[in-house]
Amino acid sequence: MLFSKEYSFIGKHASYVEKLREKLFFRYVDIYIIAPIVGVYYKRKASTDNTDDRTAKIFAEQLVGEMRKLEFAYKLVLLCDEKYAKYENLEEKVKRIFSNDEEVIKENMKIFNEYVLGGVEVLYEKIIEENEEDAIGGFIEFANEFIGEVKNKQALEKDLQEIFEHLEIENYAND
Amino acid sequence: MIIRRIKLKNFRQFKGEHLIEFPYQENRNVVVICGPNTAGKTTLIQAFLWVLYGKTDFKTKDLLLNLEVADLMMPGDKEEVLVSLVLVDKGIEYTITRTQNYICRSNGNVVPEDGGGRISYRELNGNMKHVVKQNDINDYINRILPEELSSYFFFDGERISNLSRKDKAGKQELSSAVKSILGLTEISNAIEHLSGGSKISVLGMFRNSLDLESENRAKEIKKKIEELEDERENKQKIKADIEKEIKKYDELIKEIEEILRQNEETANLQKQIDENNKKINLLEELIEEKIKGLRGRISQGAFSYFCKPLIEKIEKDLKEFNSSIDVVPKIQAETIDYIIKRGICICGNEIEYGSEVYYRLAELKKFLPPYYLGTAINDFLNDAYSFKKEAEKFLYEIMKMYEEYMKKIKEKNDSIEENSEIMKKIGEKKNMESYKKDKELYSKQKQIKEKELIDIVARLENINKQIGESNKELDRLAEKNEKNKFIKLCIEYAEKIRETLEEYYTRKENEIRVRLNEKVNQIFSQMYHGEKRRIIIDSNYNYEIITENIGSELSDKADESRGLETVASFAFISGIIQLAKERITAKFVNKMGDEEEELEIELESEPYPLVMDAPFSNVDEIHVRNVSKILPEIAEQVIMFIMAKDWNYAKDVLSNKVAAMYELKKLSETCTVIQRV
Repeated sequence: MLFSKEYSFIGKHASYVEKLREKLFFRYVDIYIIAPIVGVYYKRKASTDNTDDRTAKIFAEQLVGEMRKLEFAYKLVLLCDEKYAKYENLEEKVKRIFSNDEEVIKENMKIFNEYVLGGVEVLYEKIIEENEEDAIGGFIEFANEFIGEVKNKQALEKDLQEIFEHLEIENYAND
Repeated sequence: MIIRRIKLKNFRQFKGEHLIEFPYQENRNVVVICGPNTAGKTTLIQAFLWVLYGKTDFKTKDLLLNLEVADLMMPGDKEEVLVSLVLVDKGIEYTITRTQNYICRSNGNVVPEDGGGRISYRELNGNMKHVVKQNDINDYINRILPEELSSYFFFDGERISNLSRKDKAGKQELSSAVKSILGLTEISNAIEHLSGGSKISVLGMFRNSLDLESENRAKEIKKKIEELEDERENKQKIKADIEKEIKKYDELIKEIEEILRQNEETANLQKQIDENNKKINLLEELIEEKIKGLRGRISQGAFSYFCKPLIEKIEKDLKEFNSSIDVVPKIQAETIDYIIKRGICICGNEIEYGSEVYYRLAELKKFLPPYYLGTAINDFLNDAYSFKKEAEKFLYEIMKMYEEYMKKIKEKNDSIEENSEIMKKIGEKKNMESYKKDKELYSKQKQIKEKELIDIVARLENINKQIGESNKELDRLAEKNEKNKFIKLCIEYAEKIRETLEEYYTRKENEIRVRLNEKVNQIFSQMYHGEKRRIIIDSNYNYEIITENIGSELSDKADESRGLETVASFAFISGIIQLAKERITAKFVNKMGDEEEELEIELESEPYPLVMDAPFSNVDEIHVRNVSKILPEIAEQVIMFIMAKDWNYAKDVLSNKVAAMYELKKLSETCTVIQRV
């Protein structure tokens, strides 16, 4: 089962999410569900920082409480993951993402959590590091930036797609 | 003074009424009354003296009343003795009357009772004036013919010798009598009037009316005014100082009040600060809420917001991928298993194992996730759609919330800034208490000074009032002092007049005496035919007969006959009378400074009659003639009571000067009649 166990941020990410929770989000779990979205969008993955023993724990009950969003985030993040983009067969990709197989889920979770940590870093950088005092303002700026980028990105992608269609290329690189 | 007539009634031997007229003409100014001795010649003189002076010199003093008349009186009877004299003096005719009443007592004694006198005259305005008081009568008579001189003008031949002796029986007031006749009395009266007794003389009265008191007072007041003015100056200085001090205190107090007022402003500002702080607190709460709200919204809504673009990125493909498949949404294989196991469908029908329903359901399992992907994808897309929907308003909402949040933060910051501005205004917070204390102190001291000021102002008012009053008094005194000055001036004048008069008097007196001496000697030499003798008159108007060849010491011892004495007396009297007869106009040169003023004083003397009783009794023949010749020329009027034998000697010389002649006929010892011849 997805998200049935408690999760802990470790090391620097623990301190990041502590800060983020202090300044902006109410709960770690709130960060947990947003971070991977941000991480996959900014194509940012990070690995666990084991350098120190700081931890920030999310209890299983909290995860269960946000199951719908978590599950959705999991699927969305994987769908947008570039690794999966390499799959020629969309069906295969989807099958794998939507699979109930424990092993598959384990691997998927690994990717997902990397995006979580990456997203945390992005959030930290963009919000806390930018303007710790006004984290909310920072967030709003970030949110605006996000749209702008997205808009630009999407516009760009749209243009690219059109170009590729003209050129009859199915898959295209994102960068 | 001229004698007009005399009336006698029962006077001594003149029984009944007798009237003697003394006619008077310029060239006939002698009236002779002849009679033997004891006929009453002396009595007649006495009558004059009695009517004038109330004096008699009779041996039987008391009874003036005619004895025959007295004898006829019965007890209770009254008889009157009366003498009435009419004379003219200085143009006014006086009727002088004296009466003496006698009453017969029960014992037959006739005694004097009351008596009285009267002077009547006609005043210038025509009214008759009657003087009845004896003192007044005496005054009048003494003005007409002073008693001291009566012996000269009522000449008693038998007493002639008295005149020449310097003895007490003589005339001690002779000098004043002479002066009176010669008119010097007026001057000496004037002098007396000017400088005599301190209460009634002019100088005395002036001096008395001098208000030296006021002069002293004026000095006192002037001193007082000076002192007051000094004090005033002093106090005015003090007043100025006090006013300065009050002003200083005012300023200090104002300064402090300004500070206190600023402090009030401070209080106000403090109030503002407090209000702002309240506001700030409210805002902070509000902000907290807003933050919470924002964080909540973000925490809750950020997910779908961030998902949205990713969804949009992949949903097209997914939709395409999933489009053809018709799946039952949201059912999983587990669900079928559960229903089959239950044996009852969700619609309620039984599901028997192996039935058609059973197989149909089993079939469905194939299309259900996890067995069938599409379902899962569908679910996913549905979620995606709902998340996308959620995300639509997110940014707008949080931006709105953020705007408001920012507003509140701005408000809060504005308030905070305002407060810090206000704090700046307040500046250093000083200890207001000490200022308040200072203000109180200054206020108290100011009060004290103000009271002092009031006191000084009052004192100054008082001083000014006193100065005003003193000046008024000074003015009043000045009037008095003016008066005094005037009086002093008058005194000076009076003194000067007195001096002048005295000097004049002395000179004149001397002159007169010299002239008298001359005159007397002149007459004497005319009267006396003997050896060369001279009469010397001393300053007291006593005269001495000196024989020229013999020194004066011896002259006393020289044998002087009574005739000589008589002649000398005649000469003396004649000299006086003659001088008196002349009007003496004095030219008195008053040397005042450089100018010589001539002071003319007219000394008027009245001509005087000579009433002589037996004038020639001691005089020999030749002298009688000589004297008779001179007397009428010297005296204004001569009335002689003479013996027949003496008349014989004088007849030749005098008869052409006689205006009337009377004879005294002695009827008895007690009765004589007067008959005109």
